[in-house]
Amino acid sequence: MAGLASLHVLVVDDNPHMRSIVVAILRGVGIGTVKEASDGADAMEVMRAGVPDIVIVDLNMFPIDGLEFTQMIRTAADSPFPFVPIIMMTGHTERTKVMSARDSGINELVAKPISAKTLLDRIVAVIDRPRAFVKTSSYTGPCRRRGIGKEFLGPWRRKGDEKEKEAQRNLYQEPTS
Amino acid sequence: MSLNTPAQLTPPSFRLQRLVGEPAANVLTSEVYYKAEMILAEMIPPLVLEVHRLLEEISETLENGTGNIRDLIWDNAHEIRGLAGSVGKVYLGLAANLICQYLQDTQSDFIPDQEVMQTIIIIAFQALRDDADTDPMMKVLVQDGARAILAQRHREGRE
Repeated sequence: MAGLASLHVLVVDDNPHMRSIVVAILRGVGIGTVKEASDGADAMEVMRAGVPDIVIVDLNMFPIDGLEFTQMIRTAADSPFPFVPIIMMTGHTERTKVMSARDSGINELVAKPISAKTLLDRIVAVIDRPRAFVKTSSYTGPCRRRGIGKEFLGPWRRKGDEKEKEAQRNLYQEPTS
Repeated sequence: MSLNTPAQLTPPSFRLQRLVGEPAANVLTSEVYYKAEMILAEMIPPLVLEVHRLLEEISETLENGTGNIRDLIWDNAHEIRGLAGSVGKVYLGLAANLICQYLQDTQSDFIPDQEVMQTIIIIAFQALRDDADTDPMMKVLVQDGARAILAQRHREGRE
């Protein structure tokens, strides 16, 4: 079995209507296994029964919100699935909320109201453009440097950063004629 | 791990692309996107009906409810707020948010003011109209609702 039918996606949202929308879209486009969970604890149970390939989670949930849930997946000592791609849905698109979501370790963000296009675009992103996975004392998740812009001036703490550092130096060097 | 300690870096995994058998962009074609949009469009009418039911339930609870009516209203208002985005009704979301603002910081035994709540419910029903989001009067109604909530919170000493 190949194609989208081979994928297993878990949708976590405490709003049953929102959940049914996402599930209907995913099943409609041919994703093979789509499971649902109504909260973080429920989702952990579902995930222990079978690790999904992608998790789609809502930010606002009770008692465990999407941020805590993501951090649990990424950092819990007994988490068997720290690398699973996570797409977060949120109606809160304020800069602080988006940054909190990014810093919790999500891969992609979908702003509500969701459109089928946005949701599918994010799925394409996690499949076709996976990012390196970073683990530091303060962050565990996909690399947050989506593109090294010239504005990033360090600190350079990664083994593979030498090339980037050199490229940055060249950017700011006086042109030699 | 301190700031000077190198971060542990794991290279990107293309496991999902291998699982799918090719780039997802090749599988999720424009036809698939169109199909997905159609599925979403089909789901909206039942959601509008659900919003109607939730609003009716709030109204009914206000008139005849006993027990923790505040919690039911709070839950319904939150659900309406969440659904409003999906059904593309901006003012409906704002109206539901007014109910949430009014009930914010209250306990389960709180008895909401009938008049103010019914005003917001009327605004919410108006916001369900097909032309609501293009009707300039809706903005005025929502602003009036916001003032009514502020005034009521002030009367109840909850500024």
